[in-house]
Amino acid sequence: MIQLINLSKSFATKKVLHDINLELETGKVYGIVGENGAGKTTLFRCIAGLEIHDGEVTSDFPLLKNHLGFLETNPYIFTRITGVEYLQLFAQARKISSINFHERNIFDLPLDEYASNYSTGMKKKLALLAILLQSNDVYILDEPFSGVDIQSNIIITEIILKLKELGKTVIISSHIFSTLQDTCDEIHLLQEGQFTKKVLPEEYSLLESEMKTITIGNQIERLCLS
Amino acid sequence: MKYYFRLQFSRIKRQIEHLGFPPYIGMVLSIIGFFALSHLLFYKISLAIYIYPLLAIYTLLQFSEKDRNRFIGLCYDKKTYRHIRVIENSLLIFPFLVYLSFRCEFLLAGLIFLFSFVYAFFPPISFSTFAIKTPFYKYPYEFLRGFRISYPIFIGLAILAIIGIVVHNFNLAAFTILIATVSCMSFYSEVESPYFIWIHKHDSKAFLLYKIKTSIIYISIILLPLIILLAFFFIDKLILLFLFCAIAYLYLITNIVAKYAIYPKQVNLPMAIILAIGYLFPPVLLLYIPYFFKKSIVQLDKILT
Repeated sequence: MIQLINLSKSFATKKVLHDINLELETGKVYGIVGENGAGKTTLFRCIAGLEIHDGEVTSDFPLLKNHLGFLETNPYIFTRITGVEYLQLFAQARKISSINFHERNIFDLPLDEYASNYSTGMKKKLALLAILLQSNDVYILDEPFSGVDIQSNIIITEIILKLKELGKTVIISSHIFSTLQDTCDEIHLLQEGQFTKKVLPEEYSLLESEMKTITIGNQIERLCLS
Repeated sequence: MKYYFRLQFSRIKRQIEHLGFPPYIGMVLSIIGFFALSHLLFYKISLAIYIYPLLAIYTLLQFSEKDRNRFIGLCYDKKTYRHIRVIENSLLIFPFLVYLSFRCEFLLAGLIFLFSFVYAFFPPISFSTFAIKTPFYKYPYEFLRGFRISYPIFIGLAILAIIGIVVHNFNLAAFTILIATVSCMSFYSEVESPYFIWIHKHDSKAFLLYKIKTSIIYISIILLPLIILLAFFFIDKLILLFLFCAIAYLYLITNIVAKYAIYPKQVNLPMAIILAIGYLFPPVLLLYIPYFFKKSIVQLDKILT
């Protein structure tokens, strides 16, 4: 289990996260939704230990980061590194040896080419593959579906379900509501750095229409399209 | 087009400021440094006249990266793009031309200028599509990508070492060890995102030792063939060669621990001065290394524990 206790984060005078409290149970999939700038990525970085924050993040692991795979929204890929070398970097970082990367390349990525030349979606798939091959216990996937083709979306959804089956904890953020509906045990709505709602599967359709109303409102009219 | 060059000038000023220099003083120091190094090269090495044009061409190629030029091409029409490329290339090689003119090497200066002019009209050579095989696969990433970026330098150094042997010029051959070491040190110049440190399971001490061990193994792969070759032809300089090798290791280790001692900042002016003193008097590095090592652990603990 992972517990977030009064987790807060400020950048200079701007408070981005306000006293977040959340319990993440082992073997469950959690969805975090919210507008751009709501604080989703900052929350993920705090859980991962990549940001200094107030409050606590506790877990059953002596050091959570050593059991955590974090997929960033826009994974950074070094220039002049091939796909297979990127995977080797991640494996080596966890002291994992002898993985046949080509055999486990489920996304059919051109692993012997420079990864910096990959498309946005391919980079995301490579980064996802890298953390999956580390065999982590907890996964934070920040927008795993964005920029990825429809076939890969299906594969990623299945991967998340498989991780759940294996008793892994998964935290996802996504703007594609249907993918969250298919995978999450509960969804939390993050607004201006605070959790304002916890939604269970039976209420997902309600949340979707509610979010649509909040998000769209009369914004389209303001464009004065003609 | 004027805006483009104003923007580039602002970028250069910001870069110099970032290094801890007032921009205009930094520019003056860079110019003095360039001419001092050029003079040193010609003073120390008899075959510098062959090395210098290669350095000029290498500088040109470094600034002709495919994606960068494609971006400029997208922003401007074809005619303006050509103008920008010609002006950029001319500005880049201008210091080389000035120094060659100072040495009355007008023909060579003219040839380099001609090359830079013609090169602006050709699509940039892409070094980024074909993944060159390297012996550095097992422990990515610094030597892997660094070698791929700098491999023309290593080819040039191998040629220079052979010339040094043929003309029995030990200074020239030894110069290749120095440049190879400096090139390897440059592999660590980029400050990586904390994410790429965070992914490691090691604690801070183990992480640093892992980085140092990898660097020593990999620089040995680059330097040892050179040193063995030189040892064979300059047997009387054997001790000196091993001393160079030891200094290369010291330089590289200092470079790594100094980088993480101030992580995530880049090396600034005070640090650069401290390091320069150490590089000029290598025994001092034996004091630097444990000091920077401890400071690195403090910085890395923020990410790794």
